[in-house]
Amino acid sequence: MEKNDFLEIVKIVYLTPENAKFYETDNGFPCVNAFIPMVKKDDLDTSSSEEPVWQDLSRVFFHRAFPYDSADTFISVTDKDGNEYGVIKSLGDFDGKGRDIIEKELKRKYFTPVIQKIFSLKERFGYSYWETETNHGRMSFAMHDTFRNIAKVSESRLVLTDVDGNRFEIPDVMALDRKSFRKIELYL
Amino acid sequence: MTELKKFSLSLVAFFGEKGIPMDECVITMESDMGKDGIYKNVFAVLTKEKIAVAEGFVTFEGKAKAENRTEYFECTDYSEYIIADFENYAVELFISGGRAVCEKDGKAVEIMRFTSSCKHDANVLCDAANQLKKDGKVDEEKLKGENEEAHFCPKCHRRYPDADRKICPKCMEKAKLVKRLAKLFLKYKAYIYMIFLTFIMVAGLGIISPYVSNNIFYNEVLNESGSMYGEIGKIILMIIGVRLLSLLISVINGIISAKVAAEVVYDLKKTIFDTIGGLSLRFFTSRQTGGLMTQINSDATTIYWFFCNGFPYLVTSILQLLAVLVVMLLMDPILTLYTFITIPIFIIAFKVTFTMFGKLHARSYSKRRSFNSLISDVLNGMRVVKSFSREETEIKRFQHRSEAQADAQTVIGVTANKVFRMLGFMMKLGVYVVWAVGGWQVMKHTGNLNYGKLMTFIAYVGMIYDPLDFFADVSNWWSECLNALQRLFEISDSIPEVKEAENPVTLNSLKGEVEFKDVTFSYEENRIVIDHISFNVPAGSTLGIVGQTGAGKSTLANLLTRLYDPVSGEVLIDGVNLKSLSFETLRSAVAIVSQETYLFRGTIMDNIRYARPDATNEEVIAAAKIASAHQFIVKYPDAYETMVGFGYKELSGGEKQRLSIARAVLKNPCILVLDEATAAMDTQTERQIQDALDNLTRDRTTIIIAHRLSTLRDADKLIVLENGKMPEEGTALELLKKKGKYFELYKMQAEALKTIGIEE
Repeated sequence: MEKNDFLEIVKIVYLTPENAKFYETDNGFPCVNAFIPMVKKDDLDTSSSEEPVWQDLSRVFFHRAFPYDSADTFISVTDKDGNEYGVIKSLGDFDGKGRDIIEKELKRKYFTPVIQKIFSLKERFGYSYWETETNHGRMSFAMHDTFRNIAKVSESRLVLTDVDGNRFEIPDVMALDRKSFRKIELYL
Repeated sequence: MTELKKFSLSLVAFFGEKGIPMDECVITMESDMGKDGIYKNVFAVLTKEKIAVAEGFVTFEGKAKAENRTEYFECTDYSEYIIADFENYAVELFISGGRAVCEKDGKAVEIMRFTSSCKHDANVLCDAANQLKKDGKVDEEKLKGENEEAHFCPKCHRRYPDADRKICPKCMEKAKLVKRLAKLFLKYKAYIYMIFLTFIMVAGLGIISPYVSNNIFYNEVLNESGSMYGEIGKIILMIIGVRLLSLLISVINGIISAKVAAEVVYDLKKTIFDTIGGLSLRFFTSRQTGGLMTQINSDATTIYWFFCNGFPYLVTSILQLLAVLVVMLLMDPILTLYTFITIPIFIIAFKVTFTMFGKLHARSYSKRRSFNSLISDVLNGMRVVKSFSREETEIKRFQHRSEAQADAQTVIGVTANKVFRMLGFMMKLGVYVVWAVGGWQVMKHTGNLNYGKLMTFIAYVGMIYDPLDFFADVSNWWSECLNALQRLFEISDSIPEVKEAENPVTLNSLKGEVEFKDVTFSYEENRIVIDHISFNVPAGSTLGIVGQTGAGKSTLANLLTRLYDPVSGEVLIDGVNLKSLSFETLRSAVAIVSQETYLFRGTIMDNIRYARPDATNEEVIAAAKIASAHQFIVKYPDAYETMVGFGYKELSGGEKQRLSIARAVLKNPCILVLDEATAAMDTQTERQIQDALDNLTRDRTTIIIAHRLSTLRDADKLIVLENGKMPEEGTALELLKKKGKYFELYKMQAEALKTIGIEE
C-alpha cells in the first residue's frame, strides 16, 4: 500500500489562477469567480454533481492553514460562515491583480505589530505592563497571566496576546537588543 | 446618550460643525485604527438617523497636566452612513482586531476598523444600529452599563481587565489589601502577640549573651581585679542558663508559629474554596482549574510565611539592630563607624545576588514546568504513544528536557556555592577591620578597649551582619506576598455571574412545565450559539431535541440547569423565571445526565448516592436497575463497594453513563434531562435502559437530547436545532410529513441502516 494513497479519497478543491479569478468590489471587499463544482446552497442539498462550472461566489474570506510556519501556502477560501470553497495551495501561484487582492486582505486580517524593542516591562499583581517600540510605532499594552499568553511558536519566535486579545509578535527573540532580551527573558 | 467615550470639547465642536449636536447622539465611541490600517484616533457617533465616523489625529498643545492644555482634532477622513439605507450591521473579526460592516443591496460596506481593544464598543454600536433599523429606537436601559465610567479606572483611565470587577491592578491600593489581610489575622492576634514577644525575648537574650560570655567572662572572671575572679563554674552556669532560656523561648516560638501557620493557611484555603464552590461554570472554563489549587496552596503559604515569620522577624531584627547599635556606640563610637563602612557594600552585593538568583530560579522553574508537563502528557497519552510506536521519540524528548532541567539546577548549585562563599568572606572583611583596629587599640591601650570588650564588640558586629541578607531581599518578599494576596482576594472577590435572586422563589411542589421564551445565548461575544429560540414542554411530557454536533443542544441543557444565564429572553419552570427561582428549588427539580460523565473517587455506591447521601441500599439498587447498571456492578468482586475514579477501577464509557443515569434516577427530579446520556452504549443496552426509564419518565417532564434518532422514538414532541436556530418543531410524524430538516436527517440515518440490512 502506498503511504499516501488516502489522498485519492478526499478531493481538495485547489484554487489556481486558471480556475479562480479574484476581484474586488468598489468598497474593497475581495470576491471570486471560480470554476469549481456547484456550491451547495445548504447542508441538506443532495444534488451532488462534481462537474465544475463557472460561478460568482461574491465575497470570500481567507484563512491561513499554517499561519506561522508557512503563511503563504494552503490558504483556505471560505464564505462568511466558514464553509470552504477551496484552498489556495501557494500564494506564489498567483500574480498580478489577483495576488494583490489576496495579499491585501491577508495583511488586513493578520495585522500584527512586530515588537522591536522593549523599553520597560513591569509586573504588578498578575498583570504585566509593556512599553514597546513596534514597526507601527511606540505601543504600551498590558498582559494578564503573562506566562501563558506568550506563545512560543518556535524556538525563538514569540506571539504575545494582551488583555484585549491584541497580538504582538517577536520574530526572533534572540535578535532583540540585550536590554530588551533581559526584560523578557524571565517569561521564556 | 451612552458615552462609550466621553468626547472632548474639540470633538463636540467638530461633530457640531458636521451638523450633529451632542444631544442627538445615542452612542459616542472611540476606535483606534483607520480604514487604511494605520493607528489613528477614530471617533464615531450613532444618532437616530445615521452613523458618523471621523478618522484623524488628536494633538495637544501645552503640558500634559496643564489647565490650559488645548486639544485639536485633525480629521483625515469623514463619512456618514444613513441607518435606513443599510442593513445587517455586524462586526467581522480579524486576528487581533476587526471591522464593523453593513450591507447595501447585499454588498458589504466598511464602517470602521478597530483593534481588539475596541471590539466590545464596536459591537455595541452595531447592535444599536440594528435595533434602530428594526424598531426605530434603542433600548437605552440596556446600554446603561456600557458607559465609559463603568469600564475605565477613574484614576488612570485604563480599561478594567475585567469589567465585572471594578479593580484596576495599576491603581489598586496596597493599604487596602493589607487591611483586609489584617482582618484575617485579627482572629489570631493573641498568637501573633506571643510570636512577637518571643522574638523580642530571643533578641534581647541575644544581646545579653555576648556580654555574659565575653565581657563578664574575660574582664570579671579571668581578670584578677574582676569582681567574680575565679568563679568559673558560676559563669559557665550563667552562660548555659542564658543559652538554655533562649533555646526554650525559641522552641515556644516555633510551636506557636507552627500552630498559627496551619490554622491561617487552612483558613485562607477554606475562604477560597468556599467562594470557588459558588462561582459560575464560566470561571472554571476560563482558566486552568488544575493550576488553580496549586496556586492557592503556594499563595496561602507565601502569605502565611511573610506575616507569621517574615514580618515579626523584620520588626525584631530592626529592634535588635538598634539596640546593638546603641550598645556598640556606647562601647566605642569610632570602631562602630568602621563596622558600618562595609554595610552599604553588602546591601548592594546582596541585591545583585538575589536578582541573579531570581532569574536563575525562574529559568529552572520554567524548565521544570516543561519537564513535568511532558511527563504528565506522555503518561496520560501512553496508549497513543504505544499504538503509534513513538516511544523512542518520547524518550528522546524526555531526555532532552530532563537534561535541560538538570543543567539549570546545576548552574544554580554552582553559582550558589561560588557566590555565597564569596559573600561570606566579604562579610568577614568587616570583622577583620574591627579585629585590626580594635586589636591595635587593646595592645597599645589607646582607647578604652580591653580584650573582653573587644570580643563582645566583635560578637555584636556579627549580629549586625546577620540579618543583612534578609533586609536586602525583604522588598522582594513583600511584593511577592502582596502579589499572592492579590491573587487570593481576586478569587475570593470573584462575583458569580449566575447569582441567586435576592428574594428567591421557593416552590415546594413543582409540576415540571418548562418554557423557553425567545432565548438567545452566546458563550463569547459575537458567536451566538442559541438564536431566539422559543418552545414549551408541558408538565409530564417528553421533548426530544435533535440536531447536528455543535447545533447548541447541550447549551439548552446548560441554560435549563442555570449553569449559564441567557443573554436575552427567559427560561421558565412552572411559569417562574429561573432567575428568580431559588437555587435549591431549581437544583432539586432538575437532574441532568450529560455526555461527559464524571465519577468521583470513591465507591460505586458513593457515586450513585452523590445527590442523595441518605438513600437506602434498596433505593440505590432500584436506581441502578433502572439504569441497567445493576447487572455489571454485581459482577465486580466488590460489587457496589468497588472503588472507582482516578487511580482505581477504570469503567468503560457506557458503564460510567449508566452510573450517572442511576445517580439522576435516585435524585428523582421532576424534570429529567438526558443529554446524549446513552450515546456511548450499544443500541441494545440503550433500548434496555429506555424501556426501564419509560416507567420513570411517564409522568415526568423529560428532555432527551440525541443525535441518534432512534433514541427519540418515544418523545411527545421534537424540536430540530440547526446553527442555534430552531427551524422545526412537532411530533415525529408531523415532521416527517413536512419533509424538512428532520425528514432529511431521518432519511440519512434510515439509509445508513438499510446498507447493513435493517429497515425500520
